[in-house]
Amino acid sequence: MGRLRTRRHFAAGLALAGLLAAAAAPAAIVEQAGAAHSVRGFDGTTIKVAGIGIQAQFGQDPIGAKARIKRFNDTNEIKGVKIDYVEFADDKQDQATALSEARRLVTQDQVFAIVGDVSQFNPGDYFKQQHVPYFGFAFDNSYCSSKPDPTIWGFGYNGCLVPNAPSAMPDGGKNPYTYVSQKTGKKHPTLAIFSNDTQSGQNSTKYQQIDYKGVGFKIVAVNNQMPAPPVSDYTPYAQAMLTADNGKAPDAILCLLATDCIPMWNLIKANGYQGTYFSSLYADVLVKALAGSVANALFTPVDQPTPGMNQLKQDVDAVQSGASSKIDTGMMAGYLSTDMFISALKTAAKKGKSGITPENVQKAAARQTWILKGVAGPTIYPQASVSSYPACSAEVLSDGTSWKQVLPYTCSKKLYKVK
Amino acid sequence: MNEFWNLVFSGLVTGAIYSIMASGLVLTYTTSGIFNFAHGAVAFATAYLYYQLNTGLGVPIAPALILCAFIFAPALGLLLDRILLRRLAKAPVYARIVGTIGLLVALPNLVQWLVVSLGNDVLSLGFKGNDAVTQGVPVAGVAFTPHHNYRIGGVVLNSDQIAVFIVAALAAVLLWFVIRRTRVGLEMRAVVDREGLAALRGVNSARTSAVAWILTMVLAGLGGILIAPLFQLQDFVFTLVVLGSLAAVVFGGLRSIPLAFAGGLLLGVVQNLVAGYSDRFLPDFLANLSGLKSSVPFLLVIVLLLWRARERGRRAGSIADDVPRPDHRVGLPAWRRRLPWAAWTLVLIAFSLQWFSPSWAQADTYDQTVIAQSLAMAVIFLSFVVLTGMTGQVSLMQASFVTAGGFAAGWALTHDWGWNIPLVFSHGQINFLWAIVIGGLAAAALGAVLALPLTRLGGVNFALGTLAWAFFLSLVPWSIDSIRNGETGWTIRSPTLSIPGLNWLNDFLVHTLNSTDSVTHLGKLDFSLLPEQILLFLTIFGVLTLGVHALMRSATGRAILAMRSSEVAAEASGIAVNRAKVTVFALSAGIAGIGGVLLGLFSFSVTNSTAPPLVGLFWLALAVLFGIRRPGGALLAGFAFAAGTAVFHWISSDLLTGGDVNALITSVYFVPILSGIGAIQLAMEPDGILAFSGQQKLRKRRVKERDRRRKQHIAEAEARLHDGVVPEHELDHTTVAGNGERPAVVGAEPGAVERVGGANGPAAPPPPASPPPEVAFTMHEVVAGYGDVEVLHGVDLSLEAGRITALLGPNGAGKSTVCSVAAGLVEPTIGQVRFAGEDITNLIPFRRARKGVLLVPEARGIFPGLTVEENLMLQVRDPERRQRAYDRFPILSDRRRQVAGLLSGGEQQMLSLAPALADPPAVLIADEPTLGLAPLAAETVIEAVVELRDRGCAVLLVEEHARNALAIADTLVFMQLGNVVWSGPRANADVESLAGVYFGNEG
Repeated sequence: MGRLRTRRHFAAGLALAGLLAAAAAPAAIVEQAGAAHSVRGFDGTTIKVAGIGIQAQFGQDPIGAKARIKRFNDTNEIKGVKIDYVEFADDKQDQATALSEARRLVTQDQVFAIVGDVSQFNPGDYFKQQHVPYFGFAFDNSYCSSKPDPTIWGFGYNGCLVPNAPSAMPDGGKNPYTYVSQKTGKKHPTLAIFSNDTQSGQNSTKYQQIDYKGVGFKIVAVNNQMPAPPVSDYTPYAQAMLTADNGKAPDAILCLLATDCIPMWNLIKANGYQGTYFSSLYADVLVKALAGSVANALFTPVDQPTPGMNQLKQDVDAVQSGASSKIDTGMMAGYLSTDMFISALKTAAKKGKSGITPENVQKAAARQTWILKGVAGPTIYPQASVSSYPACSAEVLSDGTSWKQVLPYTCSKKLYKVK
Repeated sequence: MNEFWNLVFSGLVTGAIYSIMASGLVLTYTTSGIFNFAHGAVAFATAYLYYQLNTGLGVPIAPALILCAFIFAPALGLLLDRILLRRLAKAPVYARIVGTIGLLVALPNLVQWLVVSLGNDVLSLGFKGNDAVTQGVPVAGVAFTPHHNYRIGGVVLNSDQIAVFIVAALAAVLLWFVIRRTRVGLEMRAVVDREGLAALRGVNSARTSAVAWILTMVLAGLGGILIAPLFQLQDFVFTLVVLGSLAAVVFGGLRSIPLAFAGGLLLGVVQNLVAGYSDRFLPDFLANLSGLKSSVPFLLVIVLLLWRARERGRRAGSIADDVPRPDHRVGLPAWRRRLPWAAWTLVLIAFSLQWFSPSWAQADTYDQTVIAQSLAMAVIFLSFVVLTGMTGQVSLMQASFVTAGGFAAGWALTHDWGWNIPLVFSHGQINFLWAIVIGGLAAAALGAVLALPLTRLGGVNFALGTLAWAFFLSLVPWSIDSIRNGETGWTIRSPTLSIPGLNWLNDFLVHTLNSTDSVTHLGKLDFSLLPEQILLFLTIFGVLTLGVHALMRSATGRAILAMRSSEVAAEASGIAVNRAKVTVFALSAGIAGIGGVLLGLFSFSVTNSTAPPLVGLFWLALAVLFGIRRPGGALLAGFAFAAGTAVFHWISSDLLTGGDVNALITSVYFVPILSGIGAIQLAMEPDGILAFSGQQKLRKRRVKERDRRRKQHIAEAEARLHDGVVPEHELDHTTVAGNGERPAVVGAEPGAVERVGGANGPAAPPPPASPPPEVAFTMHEVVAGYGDVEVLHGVDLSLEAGRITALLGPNGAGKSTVCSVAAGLVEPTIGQVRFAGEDITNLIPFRRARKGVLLVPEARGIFPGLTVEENLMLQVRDPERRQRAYDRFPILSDRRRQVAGLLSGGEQQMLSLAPALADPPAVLIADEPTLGLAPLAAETVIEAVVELRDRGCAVLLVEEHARNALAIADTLVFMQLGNVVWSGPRANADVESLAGVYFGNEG
């Protein structure tokens, strides 16, 4: 009896599966209309936006976003339109949480757009399907495409930072090169590049060496062997770096990692390294740990008294007094990306309030050249959807207590072909 | 050469940390059977506290270190032992593996919540902010800062690295001292050797487990404080370091601390040498493979497992103790079991598809999102049910199969096949439903291949093997761009289907029944829409569940169940155990793969970070928490997974707004702390929440049944006393009225055997020949058994000081159960056990042993892994008395330093009786002490028993072959089928005829 019943269940299951499979029509990507009847997140007077990302690491992101929004509202930048910053959703640096929080922001909070996005796991396809423009740091490659893409929905204030398979690399090595060649007086200073033992590490060394070589460095070592934890001692890797130039130390060492650059720097420094150590860790909290090393800053160093920077400080202080003294990457990401959104919003609103739709904001953002004078940019879309375009940076040196600007913020539109 | 020494020294730094972590893992695993995945979390919590005290509040290094590693960490260990670990130690193997996973999440968040949210934000205590954790700011260690560098030859070591060596050496000495040179260490080793026997020898295993946990926590804490300056102060890094040390744990066979310690050092060095030199001996394509070097510790785990853990004995043991608990629904008809599920499914569909108009009865888009995600996750959780629920095996790599399934389907969907076959391909693209099949098959094939080398392993070893595979897969193959399709991953496009019948059904369910829908009928199924996704996921879950049920009832299913209860027996009865294991593992992998495709459909794409290895651990913990034995548990776990965040948002934003409470609750650290509650719940009910209510019903039913049985017993007994008329109030006693009213010992006239409770009524007690001897130990009307099986049906027994009572009876009479009840191993359901005038019915074994009730169990009562001296020391603390034992058995004195397992059978039995002779207990229970001994050895044992009697000991001697016993016994007790059928002085017994009647002339 048991056997008989078993067979029947199997048969039923098979029949159902077969039925489903039998008449299946050609599959196609279905674009679901994001705004069928009314505009999501805009009721005619107020636009709802929200932020998402790693609360623990970028907890000050909302301050930056709210600061820029407050000025927008206070000075009536678009007449009769206010922006309401609903919340910052914590994705806990987890992909599943990021997706469900993003879906909650869109379906429950009904946000018009995401600003101050500092998530590493943006559900780019979902945002695209639901027509949600998002503006942020551009940690993940949902901000990237292989060629200039006017249909992209994610916009970074430096453009795409982690290109997929770029056909050309921006001139990111220009300022580091200028600094090292001035310091050493060499036309082709030697450089060792390292990253970690992952495919992403391998890719980043592969692409970065193109523009660093192109600008004039002599690359003496490319190492993507740094193991991830649990290996706890990097001594051999530091030794390898220090003897990369035919047994001598190279003029410069470029670390393509995040905070893992710190223990490596400590070892290299302890071994008496005199050259220049580059990282991208321009952050006040790390100034002591990185004493003696140089960082690439992707915006004007905060201590520079440009009018734009002064305005920024005034804005953040208006939201939270004293905030201007503790500006960090998170706060900058919130402020800069919100400014980028507002710039696109203004373009969309030129046709009047009826022009304020997520689709129109996307169209404007995908073609705008955004700049916040004296602070950051320009970032030229749609080229910036391939890689940071143009490449802009300032070089700052840590003296152990503060970051000192050693080369001012400049940009280069030069591109190096990837073979 | 410099390079070589650099690699070696640097490897030793990494290795020393592995060693500390690995010895902690081994220590707790051997003493409590729990694999402590939270070891890294404890390390983090301690290091974090140290950082906050030292750097934040400016407490100097030494007091901060003492406060954290020697006060906080042990206190945490003690607390966890009390609330969690002690209970968990008795749970099935899967619960023991996942039991600490909740802590892994809860602990780091708890300390951060206490410091940042409570300490700083609410109470303003001025701790350091959280930059060390969130921004990667380096933290100071226990060494001097700034660093000193020391140059030894060409090798440069800094003070942090030297601190690692010093602390590792200290930890090794501390461990050696505690384990080898202290009383508690000896007890710990006894528990590790034979836990059951340790309790009979008066060892409080709860205390040794607590001490082990305290020691482990100290090790974890020290390790944590050491790691912190080398890495960043982040909990996942600490956990990775602990998992990295797994190879050392396996090297120690999960038992040996010295081997694990050495293994740790070796692992660090090997890993470094591979990293340093592999380019020179590996072919280019391997040397350039990213992640391969990082995966060395995990590959070593697999290799070492195959080498060190292929023991059949352990494999059998680790699964056999996992006895399924009775199902409270037994006896219910099938429709009645399914009705609640069917009804709730209908409610869910009605809610999701908005069939009814009140807004609370309608899912909004966000609710639909949560439901769809829940169902996709439920399919993944179902894969755990199939594997762990059916075979008892634990896989920690289901996340890898989710990824595999997603990748395979993504590839198939993106690939241009160039064919146009109706039903399969159209315009070169494959039909989505076939992609699901491909995803499932790919994962299943991978599962079969990876399971093959592991099938010989049991329990924890198997689980560790799968964990190692998970890390390897994630680090190497799943990171290759052509497999993962770059950082973006594989897109799972949403299919549309047009199936005449189903179109109508779909329109009817989704649109016609929808109370608010204004959309015109689409005429096709569009799976980018949430209602359709929900229906698809639900259908697949249903089909798979039916399949699982069918499998469980099939011949294969029965074979698997047989294999689960005893692998060796199953193999003996012709079941191809390995094939069955691989098949189920592949099936479960396939279901996980299908889950991966569905999750991909819901999330639009599958990347390497969709299901990282550690996520697989949390999934398993969640599946177990809700019930690993039934598909319903998987469904609940799916909902818990997806709805958790939603519920929390609702609580924090709608229910509690503003104020300190809100600040504490909306803290990013708060929600993860709740997973600790999950861990505690798991320890309380290892069968999961789904089984919780069922088990309670079952418990009630059992109490009722027990009550009924108790009344029946009393009624029978009272009937005998009151000549058949029992007043109602007499049934309220817990036992039959006290001693004296009714004789415990029923005398027998020569030649006539009477049954207790026979129709003739009570017989008169034999007249005492001499003043009655002192009664040392009595069992009164004892009813006892195992689970639902009652073995003893009301046994009376009394042992007198200076007398040997022989317990005789055929196989299965319940003699060993009498011994177990006497020693406290089995608790009677009815009746009383008294010792020296005191009720000890509920006293646990080690306390009875300490009071002087000593059981020498069947087979040998020794610890084979301890030396002869240590065996004696465990019970006889006084060296003079130990000397007495040696004097009594000089042969043992010669073998004092030898491991007891190497002694001959007779010597072993001497050793198990020696403590009793050195320090005679009040009561000695000897269960078949001469079993399997040569006649000469048996004689020595019998002599020892007689000697004990002469020294005033009350002896209960169990013998199946009665000759030995009859020769020395003062009193005889005959048992049959769980009843005492005759007892009395040996002089009164007509042994010949008793034996004739009860043993068929065997004696």
